Amino acid sequence: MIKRILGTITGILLAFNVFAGSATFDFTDPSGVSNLSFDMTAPVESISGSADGISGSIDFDPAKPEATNGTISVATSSLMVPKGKMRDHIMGSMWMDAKKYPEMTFKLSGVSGLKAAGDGVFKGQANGTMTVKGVAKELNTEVTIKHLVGKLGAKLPGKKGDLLVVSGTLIVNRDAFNINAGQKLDKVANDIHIGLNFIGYSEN
Amino acid sequence: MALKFLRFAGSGIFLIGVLIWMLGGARAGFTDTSIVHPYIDEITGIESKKYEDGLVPGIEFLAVGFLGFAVMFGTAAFLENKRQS
Repeated sequence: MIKRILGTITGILLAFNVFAGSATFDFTDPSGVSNLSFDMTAPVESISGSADGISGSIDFDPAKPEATNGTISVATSSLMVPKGKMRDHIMGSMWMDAKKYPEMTFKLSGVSGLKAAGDGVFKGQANGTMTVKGVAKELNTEVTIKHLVGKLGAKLPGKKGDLLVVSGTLIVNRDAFNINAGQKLDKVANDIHIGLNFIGYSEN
Repeated sequence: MALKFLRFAGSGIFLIGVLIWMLGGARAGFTDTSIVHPYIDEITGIESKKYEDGLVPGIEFLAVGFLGFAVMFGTAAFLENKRQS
């Protein structure tokens, strides 16, 4: 009897699409478009680069976008700059120590102060933790979440589902994450301007 | 004859250095070992970059050109002075 009642309730909920709103988006981007960009001011020229080794997943419900949560990782070895020697230095133990710390992670626990900014577009304050070189810091930064309904096929032909684009910018201090802390401050700025441009894939 | 050659070679090195630097976009920065191709993904509107192996000449080429010019002209002037004395 109980089973029958539970079955009926579940059937009604499914009929009204109550469960269908929430989905898990996989942020491993086969198209290689997702990236983390970074920029540091230096006297001769600014140091700019990006990383495309993105992975992780985020749970998103368009009816409850404030509950968006998940973890996104960036492979340290995927950091690229246009100068080969400079990249070697960045991978070294003084800077990013890619061998010891192969990943940087962004753990998103929720989004506050959300405002709708268009069809399927939300802007708000991402709350969570950023871990770089084993140092975890609270993260509160402006993000834009764009839910592209039914657009999965445009990126992955033949597949049906949605895309979720998470983008934002933040400034972190390299001292705070032990990235050659207190060193070469006359040559490379302490502030790192970071751009987040991540695409998540969810099949229906 | 040797003096003429030194001055001609110095001018040539300088011109080649300037020319290579200008072909690289006459940038103030140092030489890049990758060519960066920025693009915008049409579906998501995300701005991304593709890196391709390649050389983008920087100010080192200008500096080497000028150094070559200075060395050649300096040597020519030194030899000329020595001859006259």
